[in-house]
Amino acid sequence: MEKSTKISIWQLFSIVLLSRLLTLLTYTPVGAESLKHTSDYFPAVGFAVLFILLFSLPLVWQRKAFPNQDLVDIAYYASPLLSKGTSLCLAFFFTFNALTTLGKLEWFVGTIIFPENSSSLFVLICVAAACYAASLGLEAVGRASGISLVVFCASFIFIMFAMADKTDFLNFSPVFYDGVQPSLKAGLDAATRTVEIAVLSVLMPRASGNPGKMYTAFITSLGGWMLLVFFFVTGGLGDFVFSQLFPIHAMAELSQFSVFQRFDVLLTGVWILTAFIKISLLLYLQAMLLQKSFVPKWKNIYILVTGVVIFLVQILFGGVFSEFFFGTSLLERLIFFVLFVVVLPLAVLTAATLKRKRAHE
Amino acid sequence: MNKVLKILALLGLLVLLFSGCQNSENELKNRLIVQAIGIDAQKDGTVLVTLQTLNTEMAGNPNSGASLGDVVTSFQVTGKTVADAISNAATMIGKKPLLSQNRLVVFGRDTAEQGILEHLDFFVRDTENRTTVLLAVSDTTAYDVVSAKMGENVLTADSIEAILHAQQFSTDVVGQALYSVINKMESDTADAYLPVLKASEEKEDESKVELCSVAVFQKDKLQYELNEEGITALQLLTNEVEIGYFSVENPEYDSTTVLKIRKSRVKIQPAVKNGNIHFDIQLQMTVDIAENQTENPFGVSKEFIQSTTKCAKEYITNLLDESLKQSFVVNQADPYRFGTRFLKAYTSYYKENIEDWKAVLPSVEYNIDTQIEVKYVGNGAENI
Amino acid sequence: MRKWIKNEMEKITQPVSSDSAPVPVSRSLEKNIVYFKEKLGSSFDIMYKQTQIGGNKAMFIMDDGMCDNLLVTGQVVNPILTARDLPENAEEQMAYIRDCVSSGIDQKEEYSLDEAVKQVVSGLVVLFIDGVPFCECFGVQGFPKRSIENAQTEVQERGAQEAFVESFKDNVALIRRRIRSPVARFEVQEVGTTSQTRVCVCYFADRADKQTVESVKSRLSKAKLDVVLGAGYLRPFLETKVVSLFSGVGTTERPDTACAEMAEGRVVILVDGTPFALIVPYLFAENFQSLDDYNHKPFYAVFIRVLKFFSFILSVFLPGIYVAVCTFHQEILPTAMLYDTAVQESVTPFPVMVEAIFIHFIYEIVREAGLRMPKSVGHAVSIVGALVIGDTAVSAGLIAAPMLIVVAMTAISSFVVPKIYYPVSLLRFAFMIIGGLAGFYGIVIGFGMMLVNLCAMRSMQTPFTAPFSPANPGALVRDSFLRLSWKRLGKRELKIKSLEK
Repeated sequence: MEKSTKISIWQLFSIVLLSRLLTLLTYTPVGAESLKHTSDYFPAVGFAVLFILLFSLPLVWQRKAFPNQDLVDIAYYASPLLSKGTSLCLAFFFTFNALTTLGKLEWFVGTIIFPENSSSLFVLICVAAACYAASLGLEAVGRASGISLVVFCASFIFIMFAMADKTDFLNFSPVFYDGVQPSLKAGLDAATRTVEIAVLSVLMPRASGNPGKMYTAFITSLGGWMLLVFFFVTGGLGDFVFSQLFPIHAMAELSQFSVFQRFDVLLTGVWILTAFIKISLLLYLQAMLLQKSFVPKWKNIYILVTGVVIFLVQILFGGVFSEFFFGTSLLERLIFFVLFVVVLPLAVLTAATLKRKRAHE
Repeated sequence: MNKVLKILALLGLLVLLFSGCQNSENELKNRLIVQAIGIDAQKDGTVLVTLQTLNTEMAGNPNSGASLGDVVTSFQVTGKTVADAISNAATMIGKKPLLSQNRLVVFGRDTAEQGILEHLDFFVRDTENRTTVLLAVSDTTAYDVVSAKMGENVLTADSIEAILHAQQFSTDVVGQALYSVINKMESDTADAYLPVLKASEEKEDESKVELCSVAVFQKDKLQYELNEEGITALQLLTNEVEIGYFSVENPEYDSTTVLKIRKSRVKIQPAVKNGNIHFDIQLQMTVDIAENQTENPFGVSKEFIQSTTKCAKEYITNLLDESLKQSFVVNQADPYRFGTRFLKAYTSYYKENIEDWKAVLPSVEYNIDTQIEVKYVGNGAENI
Repeated sequence: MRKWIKNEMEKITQPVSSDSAPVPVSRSLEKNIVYFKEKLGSSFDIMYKQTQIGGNKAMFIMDDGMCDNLLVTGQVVNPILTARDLPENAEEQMAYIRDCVSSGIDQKEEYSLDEAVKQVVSGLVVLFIDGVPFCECFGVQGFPKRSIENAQTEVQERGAQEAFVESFKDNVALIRRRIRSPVARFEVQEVGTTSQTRVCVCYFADRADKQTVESVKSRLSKAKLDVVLGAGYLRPFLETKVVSLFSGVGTTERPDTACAEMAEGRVVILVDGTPFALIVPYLFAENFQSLDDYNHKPFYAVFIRVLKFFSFILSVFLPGIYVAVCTFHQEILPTAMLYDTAVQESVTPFPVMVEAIFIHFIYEIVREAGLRMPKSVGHAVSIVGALVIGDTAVSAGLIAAPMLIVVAMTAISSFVVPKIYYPVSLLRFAFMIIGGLAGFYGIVIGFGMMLVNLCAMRSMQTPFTAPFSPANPGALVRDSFLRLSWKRLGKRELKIKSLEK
């Protein structure tokens, strides 16, 4: 097994925050995460943050009980077979999320940017570029995400600054107009799209620094950004939000400042860059996991094969993965998410803890 | 092995990349740049769409002195729907329309009276269209406005857009973007409104387009219109005034004074008093004296200012009162979003007691309190 | 098949002279002369003077073109031949000559004939005495060399006007003159099996990373090269493993820049025969720095650096973005500009992407021709380029005027950051193609790939994109986009080592 690379804790912060912010950018008011009243977004963000914290409890246990080991290492301690199984499960989870991310990107590109061109070309470009980036390693992706996060923040601050005079407080509906349930559902739905918890369970030992501080910063930043974005989206667009497939893009279309009028181009660029970083990260992670438990030298082959697979699946099965969040119910998605992000780590940690206890005895 | 795989991947990528080379229909020179769209619903159920486009076809090389001719050209196309009609334009003209530069959508009066929401679906759904496109209604047909030529080298849509953006410095103008109109149309507690444009021929081959009134909609159908004073009241009550002018008659001094609004803020406080819905309207305005038509025009005295201020207060209060009566009582319409304010402040009361906000409007009470302060009187002041 | 290709490649790159055991100096003068004549053949510039010194047969051997004849006569031959009271024993004689007769300081003994041959072709006079198992080498170099001139590629407004020359000893002297401190070290090694080119590794002992210095020396010694005629030959051996258009090895023509880099803990490599020094580690941010930044006030320096960075972005992305906007994203342009562009483009026969590639290619041809042409003809090339391509092509309707503006802006911008001109030129073409095929989406993906590629690079274990990523706030504020005043900057540079550990 090759020597594991270390990144700084703030690079890890950039990676996970950027990855989760992409999920925010791709918000579509359809399905469980849709709301009928604009002000319901704000408590939904609060609920989402609470649910994310709840789902992160296995991560806390992992950090406390096995500080310098990732989930696969902990599983190996319990049993080599369990380790292989954990690798495969997490690799599948990351690949699946790469597919859904790619699906959403393809949908965005096909709807907004190139409505008349075949999207297979753009999917191919993205996958090929992501494979290349993944093959360069975690350090490269980490550093690139640091710079991309700065670009993301600067772009959004610019867009929000331009939206300031278009925000009308009359566009905010009364809070909890239809009760708490819609916000709760939307918050839960948002939380189930947080693949970053699984990412942290694998990458935390490979970051040098204080992970507690990093996680606090991640949650705070995420909550803050979500609130800010929804504030300007709903304040500017009002109920028009619910008629738009990509309301954040619609907000960017609206924002103008002096001679600068086409900020949606800026947002589009940021969106694509962020999606590229996320897909690269997920491809790298699945290859790293397979490398750990199977043939170590085949890292680039794992990346290439997975890249080809996700490209072919996306092309052949059309919009299946882009519609994943609309075709399945909240319960189905919650079960799928909890299985990989909560149940699997809990099972591994329990097995390892029991073995350690027996060893002490 | 790695290198071979990389080379193969690169070759495959190149082949696929270059397969997209035949993209010439998307090139700028092959696109029909649409600047304004007019929609007139016909009696037979079809839609007549007028497209105002930029004329970019050169007879020769512009750098060798070749001339362009008219800057804009108009095309009329018919179809079952707006999208159908626009696609027919492509077959007629041979170029793919570029809608992302469209800045204005005009509906004919008849079309507005029948309902515009069904036609707006295309502009919301099509991703080339921008959510900030301005909407307007024509006094006659949309064709008259969209096909009007305002001069040899004048981009008509540009000029109309400039007129509608004059809202920033005039209380007689209103501009509404697509997203704002949809927002209001979808709401149960507010009504949408659009500027009404009138095209009239001034000289041969040259027309004038001006804003003549504002149309208020009941859902998506044109219901009634606001005159100049009604537009001013609308601007004041929706806090849209940045700079504006209004004139005040002062019988005491036999003068007509034009006041320039420097700052205007309205506070509308909803309340429920004795089972009735009540609104306290507090308007605070800071004005300057722009012009004074009287026997002694250049000097203004303190007494004059006080008297004029009092007249201005009365004028504005009456203006608002008349407008609110016309909207609430006569037409049962709420373009001022009073209903939205009430809903936010008294959500449970609204949910329990009000099924249709429009039905409640005639019984709504309101109290108007206007505060006007004259800040500057310009040059030529005496006795101040 | 692959093995066969590999073998053939190795045959071509195999050095002419192969490694063999060193041949010791023989006590027999004849044998030594025979060896010399075998090795050096009948080259006319190798001179042999047979003589007698104190009754013993002796031979002076020198390379005529490499030695200063006055020094040869005055410092070596004359004093030796006119010396009195020489011991009779040959070895004692040699020792006496070494210690008491020769008046130069640069002299040494060689026990190997191969080394003696090397000294002769390096410009030293070698003395053999019959019966002595070593020879004495006297440094009397006087080969023709260029005088110190202005820097051609790094023009500075307020900096010194000296540049490196081909002789690495002179270059070392230029550095020594500026840094009169014992911490400056200059260690020589030889590279190139045939050329035996001398390479000097320069660093400050109190601040250069020891691992870096050792790594540089080790990589240079392992470089399998036959001849080394320029600093660029050694560059690949010092680069990172990641394949990239950008280089993690810097170059400079200026001794003041070399001193500044050494003062920051970098290692400078001087190559004999090249007026360019190599610098490692070299970071991406340094492409936007110049010595003039440190001679101006910080405010202006910051402005210039931001301008350079902006110029870099313009020169790489502007043509691609223009092509993407005209082909796919026309909504970005304001109407007036769109109208003018559409009118101009309507008369051209080619798609925008083809037009862009064509005109940029022509520009590169004119630029390269202007560089290689003799100065007397160079003006004509400029006139042809400007008139024919600029004016006539637009008038003929081959290209549109806005495209010409784009080319002009791109060209001017690329000269603001000359250190990365070559990768920028290539990237420009890449982005033009990507922009024409996949629009803004392709440009962003291309930017992402370029970003990740830069982030993957390391220059001697230092991340290439430092201090931007990994972010080092102290370094960012000190001397990247911003530049502090010398009162703060005068303090020792922060270490920019591997920050992830």
